[in-house]
Amino acid sequence: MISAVHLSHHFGSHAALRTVSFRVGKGEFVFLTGHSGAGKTTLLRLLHGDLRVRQGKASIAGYDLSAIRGNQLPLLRRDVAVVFQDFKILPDRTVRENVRLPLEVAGLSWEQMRRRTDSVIASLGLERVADLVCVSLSGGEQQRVAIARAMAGSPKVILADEPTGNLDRDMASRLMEVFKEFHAHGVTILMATHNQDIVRATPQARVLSLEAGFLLSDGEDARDDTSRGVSRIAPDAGIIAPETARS
Amino acid sequence: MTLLSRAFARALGQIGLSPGLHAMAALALGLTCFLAGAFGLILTNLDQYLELHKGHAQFQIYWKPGTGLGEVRKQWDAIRAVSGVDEFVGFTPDQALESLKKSLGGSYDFTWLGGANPLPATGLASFRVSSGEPRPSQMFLERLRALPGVDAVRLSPMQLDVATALRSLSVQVLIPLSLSLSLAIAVVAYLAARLCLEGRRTEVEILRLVGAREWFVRLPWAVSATVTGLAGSLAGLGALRLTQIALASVLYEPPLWIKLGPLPLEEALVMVLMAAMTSALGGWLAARE
Repeated sequence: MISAVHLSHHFGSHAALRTVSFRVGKGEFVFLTGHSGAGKTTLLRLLHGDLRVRQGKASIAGYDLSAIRGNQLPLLRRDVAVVFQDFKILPDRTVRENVRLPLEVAGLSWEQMRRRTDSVIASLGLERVADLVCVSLSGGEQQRVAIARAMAGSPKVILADEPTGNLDRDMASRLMEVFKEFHAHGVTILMATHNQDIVRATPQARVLSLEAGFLLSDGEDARDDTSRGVSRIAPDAGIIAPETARS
Repeated sequence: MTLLSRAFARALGQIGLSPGLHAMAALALGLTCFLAGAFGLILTNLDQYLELHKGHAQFQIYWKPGTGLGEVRKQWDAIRAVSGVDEFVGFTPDQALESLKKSLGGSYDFTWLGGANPLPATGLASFRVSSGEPRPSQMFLERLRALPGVDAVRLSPMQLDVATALRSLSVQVLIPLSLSLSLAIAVVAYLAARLCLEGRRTEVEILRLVGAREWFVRLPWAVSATVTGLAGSLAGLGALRLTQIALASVLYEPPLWIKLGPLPLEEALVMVLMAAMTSALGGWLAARE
């Protein structure tokens, strides 16, 4: 579902990502861990088509990111949804309006949009606030709106960039349950986080660890590496993980 | 079709979500249109005034006192027949005296002259002057001077110069000035559209994030900017019309007698269209990645 081969990215002379290689199978739940500046966000932005892949190769949900054309990006973004730490929702619109946004741009009928929006809102427990403008919601509710919006378009992959970063521990663990539920329905999830509690509480997830733009480790080793910041794998070697999903 | 109608609905929704911002943008555009329209109004009225007076030189002809009126009248007819003469008014000595009497209040008594009118026969010929071609008027002047019985022909050389210069004024000044004003409207319309978008840049970003196609992202901005541009320019020109009506009656009073006509409909329409189109372009460009 996701693959990167010797993927690098530079901002001017600064190397944000260096020869990273990995593969994520369909239906996998993968954590991307590492300290601030490790390259997690850069990797997610490359995978979402926000940054152009210039060095190395990458693909996601069947789209070759090295050769993707501008007019294909909207289609990619309907298959690959993204959730941010700062929510990126429209604060002056209602929850319902925010959630139906991906359906609206995809050209679904009003009836289809209504059914799908109601269903996603219900699955995230947002019925009570569905007609409130988002600015009046708590941080946790706003993040749930962002996740609901990501899920509304039935994406194949969800990329989440520190989705629990602005939430307290209790709210963070409740949100993780939501992600796990979507994962249980077959959605591939790649989540960047430096929250070790979340990683430990999700034993079924695979962990990729980044440091200074290098992919340090993959799998069980990475759970420990993230906290210790120790490199166990030579950076230039890259990692190709098994295609099969873990559970 | 569904997506297109949604894009239009989104445009109107944008105005509804930030009416203050759109009103300010419309106000800025309206003021620019008002100022540009005011310049246009002045220039148009000036042009109309010049159109009445430009391109003509007036020749004042004086016959020697005592020249027979029969001969003078023949010469008047000959002058009227000259190519380039648009108007000729002749005054016999008696008509000249009567005119002088009227200008002195009508009650002045000239009986002391004892019937010996000292005034000569005179005539005023309006001759068409073409730009950059002073020769025909020069030839006309020589022809008048050569008429038997003509004492003097007066023509201000400056008047001739002004007459030839004014003809090209509209081409040399009005067009560049109109273009500058058009450019000012275009710039303000573009900046107003950008200003409206700056406050809602996140929305553009989010629309792209959820997979909206480029036209779906940009069309609402172009449409809402067009609506703002139309509203602003119409309001500005409406205010200008009211100002013109108020000023027209004030200026057409003694001693000014200045006629202030409205901005021609075609010019007003061009201004509104230009404001709408540049606003649309501004909105479309402002929403680019």
